Amino acid sequence: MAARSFLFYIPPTSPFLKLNPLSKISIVFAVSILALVKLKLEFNLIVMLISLFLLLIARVPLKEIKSLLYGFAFMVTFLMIMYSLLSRIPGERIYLTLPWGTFITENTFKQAAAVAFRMLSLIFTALLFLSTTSDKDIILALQSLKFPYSICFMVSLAIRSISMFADDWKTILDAYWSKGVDLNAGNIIVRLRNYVKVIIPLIMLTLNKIREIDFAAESRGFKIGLRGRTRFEEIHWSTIDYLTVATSIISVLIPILYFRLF
Amino acid sequence: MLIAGVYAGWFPLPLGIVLSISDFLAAFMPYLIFKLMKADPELKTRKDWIAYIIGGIILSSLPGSLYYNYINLLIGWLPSWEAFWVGVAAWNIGNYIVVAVIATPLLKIVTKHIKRYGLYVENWIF
Repeated sequence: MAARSFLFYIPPTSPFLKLNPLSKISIVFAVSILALVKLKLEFNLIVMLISLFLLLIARVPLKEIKSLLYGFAFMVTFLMIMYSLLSRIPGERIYLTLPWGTFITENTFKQAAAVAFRMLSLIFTALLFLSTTSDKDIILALQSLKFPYSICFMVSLAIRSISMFADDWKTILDAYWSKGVDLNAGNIIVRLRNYVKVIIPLIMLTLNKIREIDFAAESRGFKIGLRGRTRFEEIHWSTIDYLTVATSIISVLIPILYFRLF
Repeated sequence: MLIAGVYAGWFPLPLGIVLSISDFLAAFMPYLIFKLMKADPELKTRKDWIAYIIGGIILSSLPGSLYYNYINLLIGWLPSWEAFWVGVAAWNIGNYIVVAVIATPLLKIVTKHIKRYGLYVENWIF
């Protein structure tokens, strides 16, 4: 049976399901640090390919992230335009100098591409983590890292509220559309003003839910600052987890040392 | 915002943690100004409106935009200081429009309902 992660269902054969959430976090941080350690086209391309490779071996359903690809395409286009108009990247030859003092050299687009690869590798690893970890495991990881229980409880409520919030938003929109109200009609100001009609019931619904959660917690004698709280589930460390953490640390240290020395 | 940003794939977790400070500032600045000026978010008097324009519109956006765009400049997302100022200007103009159009009716309409809720505690913080 497919396993439910924070974002989607992934095949049970995914090797990442065998890892505990803390070792997955170590991969996220390792790739993120790697991506930020140096801005160089070849290096950032390699880091991006590594994160894409990890996404593929984790068997994350790529069709589910198809809509994100439009966002990536927009991001790269935006970056290219911005670097063309507003950068001062030094190079051997200046192709165009703009009236406001910025210029385009042979390195301008190389650097823009390096930044795009950097952002993509950061996004791919975040996606990898959220696609292979359930919300329950994220909380478990926070508790294992000795975060105060109040913060873990708050994050847990916030994570679980996202889908609730999205459902309410959709219900209100459907209610308006079923009454024949077109919220997308008019110019941008009119459309923004139309959405106030959605936000007001959304806030009221959210407040009602907050009150219900508050009463439910209070009726069960729940107390945030309670000492000696025990956990039903614990994080288990296997050899593969230790290996993952060790590999993450080494893969960060080697490039840092290399760039320092050379 | 941090969770939403990561959830939607806009930015990664480590960067999201750093950038979430700008979202905190966007909520904290209006709170601080309203508190300092002893203004009412129901916007009943002239003083409330002044607090709203300073804290809710201008200052809710400015510090966060400076911080967020500076981080973007450091990571290479913005290529130069020119791009930084363009980013700050675009951010603030966009926010002013959205806040003026959406937040103003929300404050006028929703505040009195929120105050009626059992969960509302007057002067809880400070």
